[in-house]
Amino acid sequence: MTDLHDVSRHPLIEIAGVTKSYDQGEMQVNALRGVDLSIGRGELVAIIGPSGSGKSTLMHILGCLDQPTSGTFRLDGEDVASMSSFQLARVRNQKIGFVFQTFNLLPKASLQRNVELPMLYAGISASERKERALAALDRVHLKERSSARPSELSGGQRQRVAIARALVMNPRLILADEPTGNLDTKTGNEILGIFDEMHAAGHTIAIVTHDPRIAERCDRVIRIEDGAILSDALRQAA
Amino acid sequence: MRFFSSFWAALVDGIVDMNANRSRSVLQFVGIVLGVGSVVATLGLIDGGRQQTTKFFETTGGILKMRIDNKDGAEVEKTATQLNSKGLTYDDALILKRDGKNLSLVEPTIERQEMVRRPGYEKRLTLSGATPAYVPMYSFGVAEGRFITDQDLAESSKVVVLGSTRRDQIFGSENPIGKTIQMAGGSFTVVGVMEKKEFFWNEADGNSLEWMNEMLFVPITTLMNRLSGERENQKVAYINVQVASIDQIGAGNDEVRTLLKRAHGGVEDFDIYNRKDRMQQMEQQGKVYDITFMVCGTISLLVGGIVIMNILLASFNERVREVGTRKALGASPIHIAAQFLVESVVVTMAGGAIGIFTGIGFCKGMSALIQQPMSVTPSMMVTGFSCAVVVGIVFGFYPAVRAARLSPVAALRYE
Repeated sequence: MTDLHDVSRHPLIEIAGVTKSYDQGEMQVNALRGVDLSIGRGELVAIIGPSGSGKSTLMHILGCLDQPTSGTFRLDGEDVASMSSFQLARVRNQKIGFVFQTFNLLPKASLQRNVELPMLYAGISASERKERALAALDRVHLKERSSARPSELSGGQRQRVAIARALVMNPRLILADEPTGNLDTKTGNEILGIFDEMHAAGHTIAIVTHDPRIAERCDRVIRIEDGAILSDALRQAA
Repeated sequence: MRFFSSFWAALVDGIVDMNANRSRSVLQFVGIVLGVGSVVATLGLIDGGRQQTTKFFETTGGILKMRIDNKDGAEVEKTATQLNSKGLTYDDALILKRDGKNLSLVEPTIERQEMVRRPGYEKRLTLSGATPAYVPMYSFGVAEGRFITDQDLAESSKVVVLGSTRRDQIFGSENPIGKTIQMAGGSFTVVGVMEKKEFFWNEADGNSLEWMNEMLFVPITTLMNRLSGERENQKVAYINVQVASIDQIGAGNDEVRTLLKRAHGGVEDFDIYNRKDRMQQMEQQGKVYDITFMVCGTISLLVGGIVIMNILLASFNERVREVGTRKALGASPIHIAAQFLVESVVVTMAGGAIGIFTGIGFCKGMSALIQQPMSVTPSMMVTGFSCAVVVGIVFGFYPAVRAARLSPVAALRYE
């Protein structure tokens, strides 16, 4: 392993020459055609692009849900591109927090149990799980409803539970896939407000979206089209 | 250590999840309850039948008994030595008693039809000439008075011991002890009444040992000397012998053959029926039924297993996105497999436990219906339960592996 001091000088994400292609019947689809990207610690990045641009594929690779066909990917100093499915599961568990467009909560489990789920796979003791789940729910102002089921909540509240679940393992990277896609504008803004708070607290966040208004709120906007990076711009401080 | 605690947590999680999908689990549960129930019931009925066979042999003297019968040679023309042999005689019995080292009891029996008379009763019945050994040989006890004694044999006394049915027929409610019966010109004193012998293979067939209750015992010597009047003719109907232990059955068999052949001038004009062989023969026949029953029970259990797999697979699609979410949150393939497997194993364990009681219930119902005894032993319960758990693992395996191998991206995208 590399020495810790060294690791922290590396960017959190280093991607070089990443391609991804699928066989779809007889056609080969090249979803990514050579992407180079580096994201530093503490950044709030928007990845935008029209549907079919390859941004979802990039997100899957960033989230260690999928492996690149070729190229290198270092996350937090670890070479992720060559890991087994077991190792990837551990990386997702320890280093990445997901926020999905459709929330993806377990419908029949309480909020507390939903938030505990990643800690369960980390082998954390029941008492610590409970304590940390309640603390995470407190951060999104839902601690009092910890025993409720997701179906009793509004969409915005559900997304806040999902954010609590993403935060509970203290991940290096929070990866949000269209986090406001199923919410009205007002609720969406509330959710984005939470991301701002998290960003201010030092979390590294990547939001995948096709909504330019979300992109406006981020420090850095990476635009993808046809499987490649079209532009990568830092927003000028206002 | 961390992995094990997370594995354990995934198991518990699977159980919690199962509780959340109760109707799904209930169907699987019922399938296994019936499957295990039929396995346990099958084993119970098979064993009940086997015990019944053993008990029958015990009621009539156990497996240590051997019966020696006269055999008519098949030859049309017989040699002089064959003609010279008189068949089984009382002397043969005395030889076996004296020289048979493996034999603990020797009991020759003569049977003769005689008119039996008493005021108000007249009937032609079979008299059995027996020795005191008859009682231990057949485990046939005396209810009132006494049985034939050695003194009776020595004196050829005119005494008679009645089977319980004959007592009722001849004497009704009177006390028969000390009363006399006229048989074949002599006057016989009743000295005892035998206990009632009963054995029911099933209620419909009636008492299969009723023939024993219809016996009239007189000392064998009395029957030979006084009634027939032919001292020469000492032929007996059959001789029962008993060996001292199970290990001696083979040796006893050979010994009887050697001794009798010598006494009969080398002619083997008798058959020896060994009850151990007979019992094994009956068990062989029973095995066909055992196999049939077991196949039925096993098929029911397999059907239960298929129900489980079917339900797991049917509910699979609605769980794909959940599997994707869990994988995104860090569940390894093992966690997912464990979660699925625990569901089927817990269902089958619970079903197995309840199935044992269902099986006992089946067994009781069946045995009441077909009048066959049953018995469910702890080992059968263990067998039934283990079968259930194996079924749970086997049929839960495919859905579990399928879920574990799902790609996270495909699972999350699943609509």
